Amino acid sequence: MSPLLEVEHLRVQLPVGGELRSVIRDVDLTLEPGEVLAMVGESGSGKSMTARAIMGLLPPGAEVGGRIAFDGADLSAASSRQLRELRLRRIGMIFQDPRAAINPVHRIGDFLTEVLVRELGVPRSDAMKRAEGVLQEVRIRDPEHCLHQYPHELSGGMLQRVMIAAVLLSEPDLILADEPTTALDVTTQAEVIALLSDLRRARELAMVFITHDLELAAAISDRIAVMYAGSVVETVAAAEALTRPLHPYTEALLESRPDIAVRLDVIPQISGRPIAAYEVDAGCPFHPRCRYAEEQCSLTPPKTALVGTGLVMCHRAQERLGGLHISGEQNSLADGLGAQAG
Amino acid sequence: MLRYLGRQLLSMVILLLLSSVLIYGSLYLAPGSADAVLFGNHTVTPAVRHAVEAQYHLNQPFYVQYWDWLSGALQGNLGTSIAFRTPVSQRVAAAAPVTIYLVIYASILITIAGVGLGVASALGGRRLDATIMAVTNVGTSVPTFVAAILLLEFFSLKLGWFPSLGAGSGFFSRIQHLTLPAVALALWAAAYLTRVTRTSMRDELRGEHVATARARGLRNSLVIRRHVFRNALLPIVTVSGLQVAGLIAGTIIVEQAFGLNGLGQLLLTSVEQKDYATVQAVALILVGAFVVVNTLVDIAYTFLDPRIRLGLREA
Repeated sequence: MSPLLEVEHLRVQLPVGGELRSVIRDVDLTLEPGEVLAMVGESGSGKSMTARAIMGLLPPGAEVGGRIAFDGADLSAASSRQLRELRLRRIGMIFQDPRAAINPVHRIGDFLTEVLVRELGVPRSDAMKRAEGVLQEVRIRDPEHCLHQYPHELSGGMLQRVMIAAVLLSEPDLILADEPTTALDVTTQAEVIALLSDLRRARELAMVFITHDLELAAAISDRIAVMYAGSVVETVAAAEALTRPLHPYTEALLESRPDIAVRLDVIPQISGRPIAAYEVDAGCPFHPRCRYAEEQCSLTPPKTALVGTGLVMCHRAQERLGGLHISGEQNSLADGLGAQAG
Repeated sequence: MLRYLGRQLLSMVILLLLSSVLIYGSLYLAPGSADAVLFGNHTVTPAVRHAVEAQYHLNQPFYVQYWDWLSGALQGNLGTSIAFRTPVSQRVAAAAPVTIYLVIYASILITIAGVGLGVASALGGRRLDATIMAVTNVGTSVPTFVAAILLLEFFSLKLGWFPSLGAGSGFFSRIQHLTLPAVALALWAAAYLTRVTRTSMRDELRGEHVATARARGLRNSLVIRRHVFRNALLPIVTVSGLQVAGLIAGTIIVEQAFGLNGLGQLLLTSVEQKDYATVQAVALILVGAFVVVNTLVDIAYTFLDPRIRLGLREA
């Protein structure tokens, strides 16, 4: 099977006050049809920008390098019309804050059907019927009433369901979900995640799921790509990321996660501050904060290499694979999450 | 929705009543009395004075006079001009058309030029934007009376394209006569509306819902129309409404400059002649028009932003 999505050496620079600043330095991703890839990282690590680059939705003036291919077709060579065609039928995007992402002045019915009616030539009454059906699928109680409501009459969770419904209506092959639950409260988060997971599985859609929550990522995805300062530093199978982190950054992320069973006075943090992609110097982007850093780490940038079962961008990955201690506690936690997700 | 409309209309009526009290009261309190105008330098016997005062109800207390005046005005009887001894309603009816045409003409110019240039400025390239901004900068800094004089000097006296005086008769002659006054009246407001439109469009362009619309594959013209311009309308309509309401007062200057016998001119001459009844009537009409236009804008909001309709947001 050929990959649905391939991203190779993606670089993105954005104009900031007259100069170009790197926001994505080097991102490689592949996604098979029906697969879920989670992208994890701190704010500003380039997760959302990667999704926007795939969609061709970068801000004006952005410089893009590298290659993005969807279903074998190179997107950098695509005309704006072809890109639009892709967004209409093949790639759907779910945004972080549904209240900002859904235009407040149109009714839900108008919002859901506008693409069908205005771009795909579906008669309005048919489109409304389809919208009603898909609202039912996202478990909105009174779909017919909902079609006539305005966005401000719905809760954040309901609106995100509407957003998911809108994406399903265009029957895509790939969903890009950019922190779809960050703006929602915790109980709603769980519902929306479960819904998204179920619908995706039923339709065998591929998904790129962006989050800063490593455990959520492990629960929902097949593979995890950890991003730091505009680069993917580690790509591994979801369960591996929690149990056998090879990149020191992934390890540090895991350690800084509070454990509900243990009372701590101080929550462990990663020392130092996260750096932006444009601040990266000659060496490894993580070396100033890395407890394993050696001399070479500050001098030469590490290359991404296959280590064990994952792709890791670290000089010391190979030796860490040999000597890593796997704690039983982390194992059981990952199992618990896996069961929850199933 | 209906409750909102009802509330708007009620507050409009209250505002109109209050302003009518103010208008009537301020002239009542103003120095110089109606007697002085009526009798001039003539010395009259107390009997005559008494008879005349009774005729004009000048011997009644304020609230009775006010009520007579208001109930008359509501029935279309605006009183009798003290200076001309003719019904004020006749004089107003003669002057109103020119002012109404002028305001409508200028409003159309403001809306088309302001919104058109604003949209072009927000969506066009850097050079177009800079040019439009430079022009509007000049536009907002030239006072109406200066604009009137410059337009007269150039288009009327130098080029001879437009007449310099009068309102013309017949549709085309009217348009020809009213073009320069309307442009003079519209200039400042159009420049201002251009800026508001540009800012509002730019704010919306940055909105996340615009990214959603693009991400869904909507073509650019639809994105702009349905998700940028549509959302940018609220401030645009607010400012347009305020500008049009403001034009009604602006006509006083322009009518003077272009020798048009409209309501503004009537107000000025009536003030000079201390023609109380006429001043009150014209002031009432100008203020009334202002209040009505503002209420219309408030009602327009409810169609533009569904959140206002439900009282979730204050207009």
